[in-house]
Amino acid sequence: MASVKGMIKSFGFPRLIIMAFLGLLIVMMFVLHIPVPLTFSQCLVRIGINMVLALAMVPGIMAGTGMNFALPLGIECGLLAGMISLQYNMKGVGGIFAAMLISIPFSVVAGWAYSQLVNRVKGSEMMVSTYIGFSMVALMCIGWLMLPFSNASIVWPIGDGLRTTITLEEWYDRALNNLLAFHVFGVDIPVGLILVIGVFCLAVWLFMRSHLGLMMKAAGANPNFAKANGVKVDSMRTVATILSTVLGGIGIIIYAQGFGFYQLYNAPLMMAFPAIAAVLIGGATPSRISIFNVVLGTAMFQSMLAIATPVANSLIPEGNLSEVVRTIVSNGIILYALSRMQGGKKS
Amino acid sequence: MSDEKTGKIGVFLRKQLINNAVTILFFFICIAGIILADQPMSYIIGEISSRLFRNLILILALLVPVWAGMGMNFSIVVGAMAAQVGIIVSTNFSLSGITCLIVSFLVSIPLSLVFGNLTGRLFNQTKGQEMITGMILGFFAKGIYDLIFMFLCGPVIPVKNKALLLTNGIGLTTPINLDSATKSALNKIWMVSLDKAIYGGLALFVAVQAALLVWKAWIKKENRKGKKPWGLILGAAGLLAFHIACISSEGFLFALRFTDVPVATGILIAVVCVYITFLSKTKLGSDINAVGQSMPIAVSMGIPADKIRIVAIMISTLLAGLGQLVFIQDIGNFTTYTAHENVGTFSIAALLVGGASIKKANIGHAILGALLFHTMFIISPLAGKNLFNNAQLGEYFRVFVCYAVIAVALALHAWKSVMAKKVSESEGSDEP
Amino acid sequence: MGALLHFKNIKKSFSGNVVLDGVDFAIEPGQVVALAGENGAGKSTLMNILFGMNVISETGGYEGEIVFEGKTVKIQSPQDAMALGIGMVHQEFMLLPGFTVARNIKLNRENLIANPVSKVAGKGYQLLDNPKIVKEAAGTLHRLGMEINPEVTVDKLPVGHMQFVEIAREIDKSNLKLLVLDEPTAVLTESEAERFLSCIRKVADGGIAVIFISHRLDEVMSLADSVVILRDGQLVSDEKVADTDKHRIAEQMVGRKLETESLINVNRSFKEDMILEIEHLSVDMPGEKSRDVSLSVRRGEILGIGGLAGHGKTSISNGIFGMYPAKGNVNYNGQPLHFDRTGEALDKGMAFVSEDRKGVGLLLNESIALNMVYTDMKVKRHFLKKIGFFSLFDEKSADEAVKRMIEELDIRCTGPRQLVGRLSGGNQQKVCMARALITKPELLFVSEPTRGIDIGAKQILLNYLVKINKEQGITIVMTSSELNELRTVCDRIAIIGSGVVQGILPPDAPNVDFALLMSGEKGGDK
Repeated sequence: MASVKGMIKSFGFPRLIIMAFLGLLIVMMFVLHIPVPLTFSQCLVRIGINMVLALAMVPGIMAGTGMNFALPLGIECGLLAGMISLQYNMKGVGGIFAAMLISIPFSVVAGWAYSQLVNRVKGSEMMVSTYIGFSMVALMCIGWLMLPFSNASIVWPIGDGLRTTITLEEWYDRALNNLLAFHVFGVDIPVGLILVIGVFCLAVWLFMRSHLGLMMKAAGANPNFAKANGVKVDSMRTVATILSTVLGGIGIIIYAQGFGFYQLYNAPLMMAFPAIAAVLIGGATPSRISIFNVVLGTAMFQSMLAIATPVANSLIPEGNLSEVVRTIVSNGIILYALSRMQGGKKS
Repeated sequence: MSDEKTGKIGVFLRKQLINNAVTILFFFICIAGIILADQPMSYIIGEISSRLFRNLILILALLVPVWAGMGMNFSIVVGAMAAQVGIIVSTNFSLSGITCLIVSFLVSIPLSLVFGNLTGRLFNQTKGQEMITGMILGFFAKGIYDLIFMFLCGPVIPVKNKALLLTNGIGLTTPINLDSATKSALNKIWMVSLDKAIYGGLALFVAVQAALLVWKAWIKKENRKGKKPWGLILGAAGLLAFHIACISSEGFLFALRFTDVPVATGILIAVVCVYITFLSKTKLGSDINAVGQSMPIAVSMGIPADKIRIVAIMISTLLAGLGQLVFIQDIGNFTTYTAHENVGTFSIAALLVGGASIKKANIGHAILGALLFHTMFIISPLAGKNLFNNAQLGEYFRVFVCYAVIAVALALHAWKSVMAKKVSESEGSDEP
Repeated sequence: MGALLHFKNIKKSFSGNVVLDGVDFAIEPGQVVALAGENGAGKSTLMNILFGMNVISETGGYEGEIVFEGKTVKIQSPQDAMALGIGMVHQEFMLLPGFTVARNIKLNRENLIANPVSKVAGKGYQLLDNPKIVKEAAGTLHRLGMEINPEVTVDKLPVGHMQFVEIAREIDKSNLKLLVLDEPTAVLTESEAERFLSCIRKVADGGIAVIFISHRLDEVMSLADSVVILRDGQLVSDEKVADTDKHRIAEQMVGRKLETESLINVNRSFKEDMILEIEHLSVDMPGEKSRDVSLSVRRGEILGIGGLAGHGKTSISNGIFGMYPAKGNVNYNGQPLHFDRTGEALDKGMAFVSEDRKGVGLLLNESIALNMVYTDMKVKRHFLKKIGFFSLFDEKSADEAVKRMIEELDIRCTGPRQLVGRLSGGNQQKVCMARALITKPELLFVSEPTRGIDIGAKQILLNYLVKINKEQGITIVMTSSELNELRTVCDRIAIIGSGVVQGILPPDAPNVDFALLMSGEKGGDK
């Protein structure tokens, strides 16, 4: 009995609830005769397109800046790069990679500037970064109105500025998903997407074990230890913030191609929260994270959402029940993590 | 000597300038905006006055947790929800007029107290991260609120007033409109034009100050030598200045006469202000302040810090409920699922604009902040339209400013406390 | 007159480590008892017992009994102690900076006025009676002979006055019978300290017993009625001040005559070849400030750095390794060392074992292997393999070195993969030592290597230090609070007091010389 209790404790009570809820949803899916292969295909896509955004949490947590609530900063950089790629009609898989490459310099600059702030507000990173993220989204709203984009397909036909939602059909709608994709038992396997995600996960995994990664880890786990071993803690935090921002920028491009749209203006405002919730569900804490946490968490959280949508719709057609579930689960898990953080400090 | 003195004054001025940078910047933004917007004064004064009465209690609700060292209470959103629940309940029983408002408030009281208590307990688990916890708690509570009113009302929770429900019987309709008797019921009790209100208010202030002075001097026989009655002097000066302004500017007087203010709401706000001032002079207020300055020291002196923190959040949540109620009766309706969303952000931004910080906030900050912030809020779409021929731009700008103000204030505070820590670490046992 | 407080045969051990062993003494009302002893002699543990602090009950309570006013008492919490009339003035200030002096003195004992609101809404809404608070606070300050304006906020008060406010707060409690002062004069200037002492005298003359913990022997002599000396948890003397003198107290504090044969490194001779020269070093380390340290280390020797806690001995190595801001000149092998650059000392070939094992020394959630090779991997980029862009940590190549160190230092563990957090204190210390040694340093700084570890591990570590010094020729600078440990292994011992080098002694110098240097008695004529 004691060992079962210990296992539950180490696994985390809320994680167990989410597991149970996911199980319930899967049962409901069969009971309500919801097409399983289609739902499963959607699960795969959702997991894939959200993975890099969740990966963006890794460097920050490693270096001790905590969960990167300023993810919208990276996302805006990615969107900017995406818009440039559309403006110059970069199409297909090449267009996606071009957009990723274009996003990197923007992300590096933004991430560096932001890291200068992060290093000055140690201890309050989460609160400050949330509002930095929000402000950047609002500022870029002005940007989307004012920036000199001219491609008729992406700007409003009348009035100024870029459209709120830009369909990607003309450029690279689902290009990665469809790359090398095949059907098994009615399930679409988005091989290209899985490959790209795999490469990113592997790269981050290798990074965590590298010389630089271990320096970053020490800076996060014990800044004094790091200092005593000649690691420049602030530089590590800077590098981590830049990396996180870059991953955020790349993440949104992968997200958008799989989703089929770029959403501008206020859309990125809350995008940090699902990513944070995902890694927390996967077992990460604000101070410790592994690639396993990211993959497991994203898989659990996104499948839950993907299955909840059709289940909720067949139960209550009106209203967006799955959206409500998402709000409760993602914020609930973040609250839980915050309350545990203090508990850890006390002991 | 005089050089030294001017140097000191210079330092003092610079310090004031730095400490109040946000307020001063906002002052100029507002002035520039008013010029750019090019609107009649009566419109601007009318809008500002109505927004002031509408929002002030929500901003005042933030004060007590700041004293308790818990920072800006982002979870006043929960109090706003309690008020909305109150209105939904009394609308369900088809109440109307001032009764509806009173019942709504009575319903919201236990809810706010319970929510506040739970919030306080959660904050005690997350000491040092209260603000982010409060913000996430607001989002979380929104999820629960949506679940209850979007899906459970109707099928699970019986709703008597079918007008509240959506046509399919599941979930509440949005927005929820107050009937014509309830809309502005509080405001409508007694409306007075703004010029009279200001005269009356200032006169009352002077009278109260004078009475206090008399009471202190004769009844309590307090020795007031060397203490000038600043309240009285300020009040009288304000009255005089206002009178001169009214005489000298026709347009100003006209604008004031054009604007009606709700006296009953004003009295309610005054009561809240008096309560907060009174609280600050009580044992409870003293304990709240002590906890805010240093929890370990307060605890070592036997002050139950955790309990005090919970009480502070309960007070704040309760006032937020009252504030939201005043807000909704003024507007006359509320969007069922989103009306509470921005309550926290806007109130906090306003308070910070008024010169408050995470550690220090008073009624003056709240009033000044409400004035400046809402001026900006009214002006910026108009200014944007005149400047760039795009009202949308101004709207985005004000949202940006709102977020940026909070970000800057938080960052400045965090930076200051990191620096202060460094300085105090290097002090300590310095050589004699 | 009966004793107010009697400690009867108090014993206390922390996980087998005996820290108090049969302490027995009494205090009478109006008496000032000085409690003296080296760091770790058991003074603070005794006070923790008196105040019912959690650390005591959490670690299994204590043996013996405390008799207060003739009754045996069990003090479970600081509140219990307060209720009995025992007050304490801490080393760090427990004052609210934004409150006035009066409000601080009366904190949570404010004079209140009931009003209509409070009758309905509860006691919390009673108004503060400010005039009365100010009046009573002023009265108490006056009783102490201090004229401080009670309406000034504490943050505007000079540091020297804060201590008086703390005392006033304790005195103001009507039931106060015993006052404990923990190194109260540490932050005071000389004239303030003098006034402070006369103020304490006044308190005692009012019939309140005072326990006075201080390292300043002059103060002890001038203020106390009697002096109780603890050493290694035992009471070594309880005498009237009139019957003793400074030298005797100093000697009793350090005590413990060492057998000359246990001193390993007496009379080794070295060339005047300085591996490290420190000139006018001041290090801004909180609580351990050094002001002006000049010290040279000869190649091949073991130099000890000793002194009382809070006087700056540990700040020297921390300053050289850039852990805290420092000023001054340091030459390493004749070359200037830029100690302000993070990692400079490591790059130059020095290594550092910190006194703060858990805070600085270890990554508790990582493996023994990673902890041991971390510095070498970081500084010399050993144990890495290249894969694509990444230089990966190569656990396999590290294992060999790690296993050798585990064997050599006799680290009890399940293997190199075990998490360091799971090891005992002694084994953790060995891991720290191993990390420093894997870098093959020329000069090794070791701070408090034996703090909080059991006697067996202690001996292994000390022997190992001597061994690597002899066999590998590693120069060692060892900082320790335990003088005898320093004397056992060192060639020379520098004593740091008040942030400066008070003197350098050979290990076989008489006890009393060490004691006097430590208590700063030779500060002027070094």
